[in-house]
Amino acid sequence: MTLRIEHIVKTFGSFTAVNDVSFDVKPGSIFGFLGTNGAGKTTTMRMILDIIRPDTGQITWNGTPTRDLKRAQFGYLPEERGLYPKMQVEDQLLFIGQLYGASKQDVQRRIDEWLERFHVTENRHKTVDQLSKGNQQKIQFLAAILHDPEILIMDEPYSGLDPVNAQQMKDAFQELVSQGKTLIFSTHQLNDAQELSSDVAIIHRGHLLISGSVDEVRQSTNEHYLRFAVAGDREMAWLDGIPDVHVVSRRSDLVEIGVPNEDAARGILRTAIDRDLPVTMFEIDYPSLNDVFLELVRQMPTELQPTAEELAVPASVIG
Amino acid sequence: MFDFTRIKLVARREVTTRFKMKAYRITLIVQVIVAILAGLSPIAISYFTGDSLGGQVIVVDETNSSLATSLQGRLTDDIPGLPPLEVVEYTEGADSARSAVKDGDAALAVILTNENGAPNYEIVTSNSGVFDITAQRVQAAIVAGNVEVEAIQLGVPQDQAAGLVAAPAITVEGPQGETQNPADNFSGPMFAVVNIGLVLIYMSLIMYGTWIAQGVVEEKSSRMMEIMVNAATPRDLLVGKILGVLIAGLCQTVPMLLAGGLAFALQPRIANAMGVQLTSTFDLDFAAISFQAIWVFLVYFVLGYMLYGSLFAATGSLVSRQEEVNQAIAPIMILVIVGLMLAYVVMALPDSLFSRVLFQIPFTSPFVAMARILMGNPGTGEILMSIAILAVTGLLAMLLAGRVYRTGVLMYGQKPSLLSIFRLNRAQTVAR
Repeated sequence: MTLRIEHIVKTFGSFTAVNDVSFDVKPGSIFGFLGTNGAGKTTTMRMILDIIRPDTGQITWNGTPTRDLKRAQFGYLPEERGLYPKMQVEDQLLFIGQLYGASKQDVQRRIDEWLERFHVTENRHKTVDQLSKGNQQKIQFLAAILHDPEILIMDEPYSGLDPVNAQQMKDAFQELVSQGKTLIFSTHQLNDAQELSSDVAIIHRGHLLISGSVDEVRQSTNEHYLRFAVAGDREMAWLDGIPDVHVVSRRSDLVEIGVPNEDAARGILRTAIDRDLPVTMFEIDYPSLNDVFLELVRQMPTELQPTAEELAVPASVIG
Repeated sequence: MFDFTRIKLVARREVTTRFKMKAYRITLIVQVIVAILAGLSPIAISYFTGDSLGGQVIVVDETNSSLATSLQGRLTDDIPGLPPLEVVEYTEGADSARSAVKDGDAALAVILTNENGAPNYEIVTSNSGVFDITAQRVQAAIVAGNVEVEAIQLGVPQDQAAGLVAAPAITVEGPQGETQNPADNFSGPMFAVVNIGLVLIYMSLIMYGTWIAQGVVEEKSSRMMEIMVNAATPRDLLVGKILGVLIAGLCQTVPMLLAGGLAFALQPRIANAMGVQLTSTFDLDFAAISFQAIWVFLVYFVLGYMLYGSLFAATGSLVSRQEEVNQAIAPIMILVIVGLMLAYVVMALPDSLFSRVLFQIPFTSPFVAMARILMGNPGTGEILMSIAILAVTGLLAMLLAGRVYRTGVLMYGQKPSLLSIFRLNRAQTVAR
């Protein structure tokens, strides 16, 4: 029972949206699909769902091409949220659940459970355009799961959610996975993935940069990160003179330093003590997923470096 | 090929959503009221036109010929659709006759005088309209009478002189060798039935077609479509929507027809109660709405709707915003309007080669079929072929629209040309 993506390629005219991407998703896990805007995440997800088909390559679930699976086996939360604005919440959920092929009774029962759980029961008979943005997102999420699918594909599920609602959503993810569902979610907030998923794939400009368990990916650069702070010296210009060490970022509260190993980190600590600087933070860690991503794209040719647009603007439909 | 459970779901949502729309309910009420008023319009027309179509023709004959008798014989014949005229010889002089017409005591006066040995006919009418049917009938009767009188003066025996102006018997032989009376296929009630059917088909295609296109764009612009195409195939969604709009539309049209029909049927009683004399022009024979008229209407309406509905849906899927819908569907609207115009040509010449060709073209056959079948004389083979071509084209349009739809509905922002849609489809880039 593995979702296997093998060498998929998808072009739109002369633009290659996805270029030879392969990765596996373990059943009953949360899989983070990461990349900047326009990286090819949505296109890949649509191909998993068989909304569009790859030019070459194949996608299988337990050996069966996903195009041959029943629609009801998938639940999909599209990045571009969409519900009928003038339709009542309950009618809308019943319609979508049944459209996926579930029975009316089953969908109704799950609507009752989930509305209760999300504390939105009072919105049952409201039209969607009367709901707050956060509540619309919850309803959208319910539209993806009420037919009890095996595989959940969630495109940027947290975008636009406040921290309270985001936490409710994360709890719901955990519960669905504990019921044996397989969940794939995409995000350009890489730290979201680090917190929630067991495995990840990072994609950039249609190319797969890396995939594997979160720990494997974080350790892949063979580098350690040192978060270091001393009282009264925010810049710590002396760090630039130490060989094999590079400053990744200078923040207002600390400096992040890339070091080849733990000994090098201890060397920095010793230097600070020798200089009689009061150390307020010393924390050795693996690079975050975000750091790994930045490191991997830093190694790419200049033309493949992410633009400010990719890092900020919402994805186009092709992305 | 189709999943009927899903089609039913989509159609039902379409119908219930429309029922809940205020605009839908208001339109329904307005349509029913307008239909009732239209059904009762003959009463209003009869009331305001009075007896201008019938009534009394007074004859002042200063030459002592037999004009009154001659007109009497020619004008009191029953002409289908026109009221009988009463011809009275008037002895109180020309001026008094003019006053009688002016005061409304008579519909029309004919004053015959002798000027330099030649007869001079003066027609006095209270109706200044160009299409004064009574005056035209009287003129025709005078001309016929005059020919007869002149012939007798030239020595033609009286019985032969009458024959000179009698209408000859004409028969027409059709393409299958059958004898036809040209008047048979062109009765007033039949003309009305064909017209009503035509207007209904035209109105429905324009109105429901616009609904379909707007509905597709609504789903696209609200991004609902992305969930829908994951849950069901675009083809099922398309068919469900077309079907749902049809049902919702019929729920508006059928009450309108029933209300209008009922008002029309009841109007003799209503006219009676109001003391209005209904002119016989509006004595529409409901027998003209024959079984043939009904099946021709239904078959061509449903098949035509299938064809045009698919075109509207596919076109709707190519644009992303409601403001762009009207512009996008304009070419289909033009097709529909051209179809309507051509139907009037077919009504005038139902058996011409032109009509036979239009009857076979799927884009025009829904409009011209009623005129061609009910007013012309097509063979069974010709009718079956026309239906088959329309049905096959409709099905192809549906399948093709499904392909355009599934490509179009996921394209936002871009302006896809038909060419690019087909290119994408050919490359099998789009699933299902």
